[in-house]
Amino acid sequence: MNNKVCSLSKEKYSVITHKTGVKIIVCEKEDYASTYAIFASKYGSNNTVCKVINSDKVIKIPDGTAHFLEHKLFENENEDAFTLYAKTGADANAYTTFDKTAYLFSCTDNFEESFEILLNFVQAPYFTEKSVAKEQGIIGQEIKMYEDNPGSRVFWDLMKNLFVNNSAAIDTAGTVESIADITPELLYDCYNTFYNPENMVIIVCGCIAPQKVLELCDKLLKPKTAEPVKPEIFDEPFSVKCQRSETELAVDIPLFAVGYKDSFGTIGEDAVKSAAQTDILLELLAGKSSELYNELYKSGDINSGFDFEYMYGNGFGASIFTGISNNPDKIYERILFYVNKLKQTGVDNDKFERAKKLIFGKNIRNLNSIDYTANKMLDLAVMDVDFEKYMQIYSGVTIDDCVERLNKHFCDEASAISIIKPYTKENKK
Amino acid sequence: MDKISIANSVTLNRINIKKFKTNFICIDFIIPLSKETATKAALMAFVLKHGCKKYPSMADIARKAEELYGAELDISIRKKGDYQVISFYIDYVDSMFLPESIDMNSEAVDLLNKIVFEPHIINNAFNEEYVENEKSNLKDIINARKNNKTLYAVKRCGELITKNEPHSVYEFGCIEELKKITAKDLYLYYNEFISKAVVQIFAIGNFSDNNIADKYKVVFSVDRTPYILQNMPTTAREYEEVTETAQVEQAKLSLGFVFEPEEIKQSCITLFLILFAASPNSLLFMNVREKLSLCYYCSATIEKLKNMMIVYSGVLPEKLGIAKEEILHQLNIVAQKGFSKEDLEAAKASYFNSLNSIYDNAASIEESALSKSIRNEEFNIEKTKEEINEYTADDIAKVAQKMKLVITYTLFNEVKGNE
Repeated sequence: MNNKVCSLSKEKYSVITHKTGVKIIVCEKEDYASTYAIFASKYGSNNTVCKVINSDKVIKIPDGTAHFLEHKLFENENEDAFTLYAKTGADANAYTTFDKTAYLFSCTDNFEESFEILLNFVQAPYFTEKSVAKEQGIIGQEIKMYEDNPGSRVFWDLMKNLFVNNSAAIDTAGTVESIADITPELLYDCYNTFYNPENMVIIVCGCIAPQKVLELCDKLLKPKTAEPVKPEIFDEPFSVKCQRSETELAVDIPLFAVGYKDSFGTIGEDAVKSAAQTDILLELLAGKSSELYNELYKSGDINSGFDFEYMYGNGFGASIFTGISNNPDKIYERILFYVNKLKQTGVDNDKFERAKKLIFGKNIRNLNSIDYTANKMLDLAVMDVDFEKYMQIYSGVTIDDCVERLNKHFCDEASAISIIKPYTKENKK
Repeated sequence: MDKISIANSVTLNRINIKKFKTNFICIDFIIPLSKETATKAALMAFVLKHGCKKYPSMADIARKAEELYGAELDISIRKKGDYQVISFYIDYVDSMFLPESIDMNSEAVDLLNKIVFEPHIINNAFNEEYVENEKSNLKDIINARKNNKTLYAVKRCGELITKNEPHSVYEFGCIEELKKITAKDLYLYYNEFISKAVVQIFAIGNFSDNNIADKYKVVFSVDRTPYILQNMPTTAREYEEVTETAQVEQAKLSLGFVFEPEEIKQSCITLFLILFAASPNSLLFMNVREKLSLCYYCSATIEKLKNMMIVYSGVLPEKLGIAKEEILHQLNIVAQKGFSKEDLEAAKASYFNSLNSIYDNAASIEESALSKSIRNEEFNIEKTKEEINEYTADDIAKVAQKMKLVITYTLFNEVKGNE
């Protein structure tokens, strides 16, 4: 057990590689009532191919499979996990993203019982024709719900515009057509390959002793054939697939998402370094003291809903600006303009220092939340980056780093916009 | 929680808590919600955030906040019963995490107070350019309301239930009122607002001394004539069906219920809600979604100040009728005590979990304590837990029996619905 204290945020955490191969991180948060636990697989929507463990079989995975498996794992032959959690009072959930599937709960009591439920059901797959058919119905409805959701649509349209080969372009839930190809056999193949101990992580965050978590893991984790699965790295061209798209939906005011992609997929510490530099650059470019923000707010083209973030994981990354506006094309044009202006004028030292302070403050603030802390530790564990190292990387960013990143990431040809706009009169039914 | 009286209808709630990395100060102004003032109050809040006497522009304020390690300075506009709550808050890193020595508590409260109490004024009016700018911002927010159909279907149902009552007014106001407001009117309204609103201030974090209380006693040292806040319960009305159309793939169904006020304890109503609708083990989730696959989401919310409940769901258009029948069937099961002892125990465990975790987040402490103070209830988690332990199946059934369906609201695609 490796016990550490983060020098910058004072976070106390322990890192353990369990004898089964599972990586365990326990972050002690004294005086918090809740404890939050995650049991995750490094298997997400960016895994498009499955080289089945202990076999020569290589399968092309239908879109939406990782998310489908997430739904199905909650059920086994006799009952479902929610019924068990109901007795312990835990609040349980799960999610699937590009590079992971996470099963989690938070509770203020009965931690051991809830932890046992979590570890048991994630290790007990049970898939039948009948249960797969039922889930196709439920997920079909989930897909339709998100089709109506303009915030979700503008994001996925942008991802489709930006990425050519990287499967970050594909909606995590898949489509009604793609999930129709899912069978119990496929789910078992994916489960056995990706849900093996060396490809899995446990995070526990809250008022809990690491030794206690280790004892529970010793009791509950089952040894099985283990091998880590490397993240898929896509051969992604520098230019985007499509620079601009428009979709009509039942909205009253248009939504936009402008993005820049990374075509070169970085992993691990390199990915975190890029993230730190990009977070600071985004603040310089579009934060509330920036010329861009103030010009567009003054002209009424953006409003208080304008936002931005850099999202990333192993093998993918994109900067995204979002909001609502009657003039989305102008916003895209101004973003490109100010990016190129910054490249010409250079990064001002005072502005850089203030942006860096802001990002530091934001990172510290986020750690108030047990949920955030646990999920951040999971993101880093999936990328094999230590938490202390992550905080130090952010503190160590220099102006020169940012200038290099500005020229590498913020390129016109690697940018795109997606717009969701109201139905035109002709298309209104 | 220390409650310190600052002035007439101004209270400071100080919660000295060391586990957070940031400190949180929030000034909640509570005023009666009305069509005539809602828009002015919302616009005023945005204009105040735009600039103050010491930092006249948005960029000036932003630079100061950046120097304070990204202090998060913002407003929120909420509706609680027949009241509008306009809040100004600042959330900032505690001094102990900083590499340089700054008295963050003083700096932060001063910055917040400058924005709220020392506005940027020209000739007894707000800056006209800022007012026009924020009108455009607020117009976008009001117009964007229908962008999120899921949320819109819930809010719309609430407005229909409380038609002709203050609660039916949208807390961000309306565009017709927005057009009428001038920079001078707005400044006149601001003075009235500061003098008349009922104020709850929350200081949550590393606050062990009386500095904050002293600062606010100075700020509120002028005479005040606070509103007498009066929330009227909603009365049951004749049943109505309302349908609106939009080009949506998934139809939205909202069922609005009213129940007799004041006969049941608030914690009993919440326990009923958890058992019936608001958890993954609830009757609606397990039956309408899981067993019958009728929808992806099916849940409910209760506005206690308006004694109303809204059950909301996203359903395939051809299943609207069946979904409604099943929801009413499940409500009837609760009314007939058709749930098990395990269901009730699970709901209690879930309720305990959410109560215990209130103190893990400054914003949830503020939200819970504010709601309790508006309802004139004590904010005492231990006492609520004792109440919960005593409730029986009969108590929960009684809540279900009192629910009267008054509105069925559906939002669906007329063309697809007829296919």
